[in-house]
Amino acid sequence: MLLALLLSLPASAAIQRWAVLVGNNEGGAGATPLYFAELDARKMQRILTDQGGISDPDVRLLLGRGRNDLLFTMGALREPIAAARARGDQTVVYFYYSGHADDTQLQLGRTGVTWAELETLLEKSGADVRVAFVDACQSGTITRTKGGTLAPSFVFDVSERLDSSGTVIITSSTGDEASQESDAIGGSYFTHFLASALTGAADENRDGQVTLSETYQYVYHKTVFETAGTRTGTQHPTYEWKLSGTGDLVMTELDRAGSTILFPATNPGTFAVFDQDHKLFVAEVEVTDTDRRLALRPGRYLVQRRFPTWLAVARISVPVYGSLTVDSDDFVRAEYEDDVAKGDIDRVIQQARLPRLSARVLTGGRGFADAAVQTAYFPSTPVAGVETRFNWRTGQWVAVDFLAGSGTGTLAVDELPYGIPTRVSSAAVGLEAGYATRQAPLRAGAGLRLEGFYLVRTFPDQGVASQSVTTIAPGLVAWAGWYPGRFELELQLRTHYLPYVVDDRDQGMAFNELLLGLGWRF
Amino acid sequence: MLLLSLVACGDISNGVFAEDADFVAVFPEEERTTLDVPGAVLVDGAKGALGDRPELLTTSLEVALTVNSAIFDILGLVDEVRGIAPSARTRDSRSWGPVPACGGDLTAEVLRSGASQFDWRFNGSNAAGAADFLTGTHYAGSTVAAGDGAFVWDHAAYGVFCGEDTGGRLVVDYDNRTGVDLLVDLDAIRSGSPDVWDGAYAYRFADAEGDFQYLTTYDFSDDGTSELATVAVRTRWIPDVGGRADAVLTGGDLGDREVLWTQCWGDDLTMGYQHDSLGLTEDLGDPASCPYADFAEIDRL
Repeated sequence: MLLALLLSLPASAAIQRWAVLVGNNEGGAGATPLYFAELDARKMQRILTDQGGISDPDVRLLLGRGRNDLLFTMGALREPIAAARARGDQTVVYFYYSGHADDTQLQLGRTGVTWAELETLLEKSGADVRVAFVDACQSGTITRTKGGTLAPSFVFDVSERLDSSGTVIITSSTGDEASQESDAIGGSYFTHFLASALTGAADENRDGQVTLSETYQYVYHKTVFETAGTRTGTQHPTYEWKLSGTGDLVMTELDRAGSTILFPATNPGTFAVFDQDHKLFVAEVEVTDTDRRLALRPGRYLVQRRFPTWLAVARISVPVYGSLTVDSDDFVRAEYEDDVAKGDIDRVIQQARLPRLSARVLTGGRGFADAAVQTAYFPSTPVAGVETRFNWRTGQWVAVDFLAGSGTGTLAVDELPYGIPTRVSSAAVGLEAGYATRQAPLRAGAGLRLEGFYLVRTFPDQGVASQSVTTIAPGLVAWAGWYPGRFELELQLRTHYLPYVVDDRDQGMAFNELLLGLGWRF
Repeated sequence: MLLLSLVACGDISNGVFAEDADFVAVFPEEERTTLDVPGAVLVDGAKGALGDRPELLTTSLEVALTVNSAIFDILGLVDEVRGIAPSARTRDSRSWGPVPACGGDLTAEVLRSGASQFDWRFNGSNAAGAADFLTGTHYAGSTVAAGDGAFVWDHAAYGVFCGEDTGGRLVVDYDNRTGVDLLVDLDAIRSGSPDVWDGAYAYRFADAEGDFQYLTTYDFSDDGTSELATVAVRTRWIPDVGGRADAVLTGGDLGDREVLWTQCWGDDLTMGYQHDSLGLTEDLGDPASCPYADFAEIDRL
């Protein structure tokens, strides 16, 4: 009887969340590359998965990707959202963008998605609630707000149940303002305060939940305040709020992360929290008359309080499933030049500022893949040369190279009891293009290449004229290396097919080049 | 890929080196220019009874090994050149050397004429002069090696080159188109002593049958003082079956008489039959045991 009663009850509706996080340091033609847009997107990914109740598979992170990837990703959300709605669940989609934009579109590298298209994509996702954070210049275009707009006076009840539907768009600036990055905080102002808000800094009522309205009000005030003194000018976050129904959307829950740090009111001030493991500022919190709590992943952190000429720094380790109180006793005095966080951020900037053109000297060897060909026709030889490569920040690259080499060997010809001494010399000009991993100290790339190839064999003291072949050899190239800054140390492996038939041998005519490169970005 | 193939051009080839093998193949080599008579090694002991090694077979083997020893001297020198790369190549020639030898320089050369003729020579030169001491002409058959021809070893010229007191010459006519067919003629060969070696030998091994013919002498009285009889021996054999040796003895102790002497053996190379026309030896065995039924005299010398 009880079972029958339970079965007859409607299943309680859950809230299903998805997030599409887009970061792109590259803008359209002429746009100065950003340093932190993609890092900001990663930062948002951490927060939404740790405290936002979104599982990893439901987060789509697009870094340095273009229009087609965004359209595909948004389209791919429709099916799971529709399925969730069919189950009676309520659905929320978060969209976050950090990158370049103008008054017509988001600039995804050389491609773009217009503001109108973005609104349509959000609408067509089918989610009950769509929340977009757009951290980009002139992003207020989408909210059609031309001037600074104060946060609305939210009066929604905070509840576990979402009783609203519609779209909320929060932008980092108005339609005619620039959105700014800051070297000091290692990110954009807007996202820095958005992350801080979601981590707990915006939890005004201290209930352990950060709602959408709390988030917006915190981000608005902090962004306006912090950018007021910048050379670019004050940046005013804007909003477009098209929600029907009642209730506020809980963005994050501090207890969900499991680990928190507590700033007691006995030590007031503004504190910045830097994740030493991931080299980024994760939150900033202002402590006045009450304790403040931030949710963090377990790990090593620096907590900084800035004074005009010095820093107070606390090094803390956030435990797994525990709360750590940061007292005044934990802080020690440090000079600005010893600021570890700044050093880490500077390295990020240094990587982002690296020139796109690199040149390297190459040295290594060239040999045929088939041992029989190598033995009978072309002994391996050392080669050396130069290469220059143009690296797009999106990962594409093109390169041209010149290699030459010469070496001696002894050919073993069938049925002859003696070897044929030979010298093999070659020169090659290569053109290649491909994709590489993101800019980082350790990188790898792969691509296709065409090699204009000239090889000559001479036979000292054999009374035989020299022999040569000239051809174009298609091939593949893969490289990996260490790129700590402008200096580059790289290992390359190339393989080519030689489209030339020697003595009716139509197999095994592939040759490889293994090269070590020392390069420089300039 | 087809398009790429069209833009490839060149002349890389090992053909010129592979053809070295053809030029080298005209030189005599062991398998084609030596006599391979059954027995391989000489055995001592009784030779006049059933089960013994037949005397004529033993003699044939002794003669073959002796001839081979002369040919091996030539082959040893040829193999030294065969093992090194030519020093000059044209479409129709290869040259080797100079290679240090006998205090001078040894060179070799092969010239191709037409499609199949190869003329070749080994030359020694030193302060005293230069001379060809080994010359030959080879005609290619189905392969270059499977051909025929002749070569001449000038033992006197070689002695001049190496500062030795030698004389005479050795001529080998060969035909390797279907097997091994040799006519070996030693003409007054001498090495450091007045003794000279004259002899003619015909050897053939083809279609799984061997045939060795030669002339030698025999002391019938075995007293070491009588005139030696002349013996013309023809030895024929089928490997793993057996063989037959027929000898015609004339002169010497025999005077005007002629003796026809036959010995046969089986696959174990032991005597299965013996008979001579004068009864000088004991008749043994059954003639039906001979793999060849008829007496056969020499016909190539």
